[in-house]
Amino acid sequence: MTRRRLPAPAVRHVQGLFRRFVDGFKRGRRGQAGNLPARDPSPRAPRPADPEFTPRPMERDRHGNLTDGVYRVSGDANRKHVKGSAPEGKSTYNEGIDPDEITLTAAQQADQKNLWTGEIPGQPSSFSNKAKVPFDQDIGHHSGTDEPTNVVNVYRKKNGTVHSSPGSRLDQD
Amino acid sequence: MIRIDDALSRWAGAPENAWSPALASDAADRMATRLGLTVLWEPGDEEWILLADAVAYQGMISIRYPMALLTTHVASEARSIDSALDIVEITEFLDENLSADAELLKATALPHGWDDDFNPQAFCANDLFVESV
Repeated sequence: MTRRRLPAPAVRHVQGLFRRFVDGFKRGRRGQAGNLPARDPSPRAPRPADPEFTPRPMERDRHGNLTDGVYRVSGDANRKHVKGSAPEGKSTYNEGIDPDEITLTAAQQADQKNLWTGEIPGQPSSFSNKAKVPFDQDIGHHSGTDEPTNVVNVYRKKNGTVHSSPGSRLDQD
Repeated sequence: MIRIDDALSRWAGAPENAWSPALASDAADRMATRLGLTVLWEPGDEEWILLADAVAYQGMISIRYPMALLTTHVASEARSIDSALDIVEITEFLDENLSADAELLKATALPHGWDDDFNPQAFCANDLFVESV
């Protein structure tokens, strides 16, 4: 069999295509691709009901806490809202929901849409510690109303530590 | 620092049925009406009822024991509104100048523990509220 070499320009063209593919793949993985949204934290995770929501990249810090550089999630506090570890009377997330991811996503949406004061009448203007963030599907069971809910109540401290619990639906307030 | 051990000790020794969320809500409503404050509370997970004005939180009332952390102005009025309240006067809701014995906290306001960034020797009312959710 006779081997035929591609002309040099063709070789360079193919190499360039491959290099651009790899670079784009890497950028996409890092959430840095210019015209692509940051990678969803998980394939079918609930998203905020707002179609304009744009997530900030998340990562684990050296202590294992999920963070986006603005907020740090308290996994310990979130465990109070997970079935199997929740104290009696606490609202709980549905199976399959990552409480840390949904907490950080809710906090990001609260920032983007000013929900720290927007959805809760009477929240003070200087600093508000809670936001109610609706998602595109039910995420848990709210103990106060004893009903399923699509709302995440995210709570924050002044130092940026956040955790969350399922909250009452907005149409029930 | 403002130590809240005395109030927590009374909490720890109180009978279980001495207080209820309904009583706490009623006290909060009366205080809000008299002082022009807003009551912020979502029954279910929140164990303190917050009181706020347009600028800042002015305090909170526990739903599990008649203890209230109130800023100076609110505290002075609250004593005449509800004599059952065990009032701790605070400087500001976000001032990290509260302290308490860790075991007392576990026996009362924070029975499920707290995050590793909560310091029993220096915390604010907001920290206590958030940790209790």
